[in-house]
Amino acid sequence: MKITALLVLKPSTSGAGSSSSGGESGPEAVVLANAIDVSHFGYFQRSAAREFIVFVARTVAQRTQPGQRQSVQHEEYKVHSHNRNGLCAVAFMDDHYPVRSAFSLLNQVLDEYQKAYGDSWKSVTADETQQWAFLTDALTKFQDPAEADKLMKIQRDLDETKIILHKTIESVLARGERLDSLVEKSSDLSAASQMFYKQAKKTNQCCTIL
Amino acid sequence: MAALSLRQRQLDLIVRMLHLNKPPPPPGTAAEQEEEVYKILVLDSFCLSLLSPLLRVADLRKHGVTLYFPIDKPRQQVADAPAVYFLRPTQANADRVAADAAASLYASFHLNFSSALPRPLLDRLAAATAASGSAHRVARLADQYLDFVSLEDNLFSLAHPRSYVALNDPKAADADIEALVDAIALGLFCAAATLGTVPVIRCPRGGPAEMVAAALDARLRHHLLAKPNLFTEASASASVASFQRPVLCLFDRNLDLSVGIQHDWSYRPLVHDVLGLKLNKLKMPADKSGPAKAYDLDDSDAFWVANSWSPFPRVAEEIESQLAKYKQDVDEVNQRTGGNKDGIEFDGTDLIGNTQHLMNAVNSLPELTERKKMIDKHTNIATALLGHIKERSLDGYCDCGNDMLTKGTVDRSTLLGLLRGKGTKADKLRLAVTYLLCFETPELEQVEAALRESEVDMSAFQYVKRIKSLNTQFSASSSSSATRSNIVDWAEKLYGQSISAVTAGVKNLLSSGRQLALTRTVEALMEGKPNPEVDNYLLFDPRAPRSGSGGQFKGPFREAIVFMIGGGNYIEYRSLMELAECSQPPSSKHVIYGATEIVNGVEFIEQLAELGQKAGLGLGGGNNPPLQ
Repeated sequence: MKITALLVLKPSTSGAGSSSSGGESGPEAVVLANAIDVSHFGYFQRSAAREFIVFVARTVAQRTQPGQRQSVQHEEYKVHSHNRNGLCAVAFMDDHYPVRSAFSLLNQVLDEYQKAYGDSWKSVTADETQQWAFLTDALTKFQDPAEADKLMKIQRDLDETKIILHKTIESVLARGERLDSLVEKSSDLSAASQMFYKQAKKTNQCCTIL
Repeated sequence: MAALSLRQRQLDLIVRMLHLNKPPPPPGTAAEQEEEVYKILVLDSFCLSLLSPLLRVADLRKHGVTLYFPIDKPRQQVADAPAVYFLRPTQANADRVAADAAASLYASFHLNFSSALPRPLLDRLAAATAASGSAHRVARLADQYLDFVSLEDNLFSLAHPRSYVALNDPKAADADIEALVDAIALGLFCAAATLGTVPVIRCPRGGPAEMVAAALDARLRHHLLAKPNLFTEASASASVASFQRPVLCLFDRNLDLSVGIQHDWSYRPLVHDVLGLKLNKLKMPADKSGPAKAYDLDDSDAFWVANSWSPFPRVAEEIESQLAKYKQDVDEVNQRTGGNKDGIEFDGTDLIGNTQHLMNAVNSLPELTERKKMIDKHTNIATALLGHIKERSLDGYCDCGNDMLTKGTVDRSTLLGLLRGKGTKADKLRLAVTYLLCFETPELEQVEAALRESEVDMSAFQYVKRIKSLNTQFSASSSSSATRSNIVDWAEKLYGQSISAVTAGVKNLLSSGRQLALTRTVEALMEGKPNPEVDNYLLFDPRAPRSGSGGQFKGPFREAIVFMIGGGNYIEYRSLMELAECSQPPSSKHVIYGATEIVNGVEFIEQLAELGQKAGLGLGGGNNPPLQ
């Protein structure tokens, strides 16, 4: 049972109601805080893995409506997302981490964020780079889901909002959106990462002799 | 002009070292008589490995070495003989030398370090010999810059074991990665110094290749500041023959994992994979047909030179053919010497003829004996290979893997049949990983079930899945039309080249089935023309001004040194040699291939499995169906 990342994001509302234009990137969630553990990746993969996690978190947060909870299966990760009044917490966990504990933790993260920062997040328009100590500590502390379960005793009145489960990230996307095109538009992925992996992909194409 | 031969250069420099760092005297001259002083050679284990593919014991004797010893064993004093030391520059080795000098083991000490002795160790050695009053015995100390193993004329290894694990280990500290990168850069510096030429360095962006390239560039630049240096001497002596600078192409194993685990059907890769070729030596375990044997498989073996890249069935035919020819020659000798004649028919008129035949027979015996030894050797090897092939269905693995890699197709029932059938767990894992790598969205459920059925450890599979996932996430060129046009482009190029190859009578590329990603990339880098595949590759020219504002030379190059970081293999080596052989006009391209180590498929899949475990994937955490 493992937590790989915890993030707090503010989904963008500027795109609401407007049709997506081809040339511009769509509305993107803003990262307010993040704690990411990529220590289980090799030295040379860590920066790419971190970029990938931020990209997926942004994608999922932007598509989690206020009041909604959802879980998305993506590769070996279960990405849990909870949007409360426009403030969204996202967690990357493995399949063994209990869903109930995951959402208890996200609830706690949102509570603590509001305690620490009040409503200042509403005016944030760019990613925050400063580390939030609570989130880093939580990433370590809540590796054990029993820690999160303690919260359950206090929150008997947790609402019964249905948790939506998606088996692939594609089902979270709007009709016509493709993950590959999102990758192209995303500013999360450095030019080096994009070029490197394009190159790796191309040179590994099987070549058929006609 | 003679093409660069790394192995020959290294051998020449070692011979010079054995002659106490003076040029060896011409044979049969008075100078040779004068120099006949017998020497002792002291080696550490790495330098012994370095020497063994280059020189045999008989060769050492030709150069005046009567005894050679490992440095870490107790040695008796030989007070009147000079000693040549050849060691890696480690503190343990330096301390051991100091102890030997203090004990006056030899008349004089000629110290040779395989790369460069760091200043602190030099000071330490000097202080120790001064303190023991033995400094006068140290006749000479040289940094040789020979720290790599030449296996063939165009094949070398840095002998860094398990470098793929070391570079990708999630628990590796930054300092460990930096130390390994520096060690690789130093090994490449030694190869460049031995060739006597400063390469232009090309590498993809990011990853270990860029890190090594930057470290090597810095080391070369720093070295070139000194005048004279290793390269001024070489360029002075080489000024008579004009030569071009080579391109050094650096790659990371992640460029193409599938070739690292592929089952191959050619004799040499098969021997390496199944029986475990090491430093051009093969150890056959004892079995009912006889005791354990050790065989040399190198350029002294004409059969190996002629057949090592042939498909296994053709090798078996060739062995039979050689055996038949041998028997025929033996029968002929018997016939001529009258061994089968009835004594009664003997008369005086045949005496002279018989004597002549007997002389011919005696002269031909050594050659026949050598041929018999060679035939026995390869018969034993082929028999052992055949046993493994039958026991493990290796032909099925080769066919299935080859179809996936060259045609992009797979017969699922064949694949699943192999995964459930014969074959070691490593065989099944290698085939499954090949399947995972060859298809964009492979159906994995049945494959994983079959592996689990065979109780295969899934760590390597999960690790490669993750690596592939990281790649796929950032690939925006996966649309089918782009893929198709890309394939058509390469197919057209290959097809055109094959036509000219056939016309020129050069070895037919089609027999290889496909050109590897590595070989295509090297070809593009050597040509130096605009090419979207390699345009974003980095260029480091250690001779150029650091500002690099001007246009840098990007080719074409006649010479290439290709280096694989994280482990290479014989399949890539052969593919690159074919690129050189098929060049137009003939001999216009020359390629040297090197790697951190030469790894077979079993060794590489084991490294992938270890990384999977280190990354916490060993318990199949990613396998369970999502919670409903």
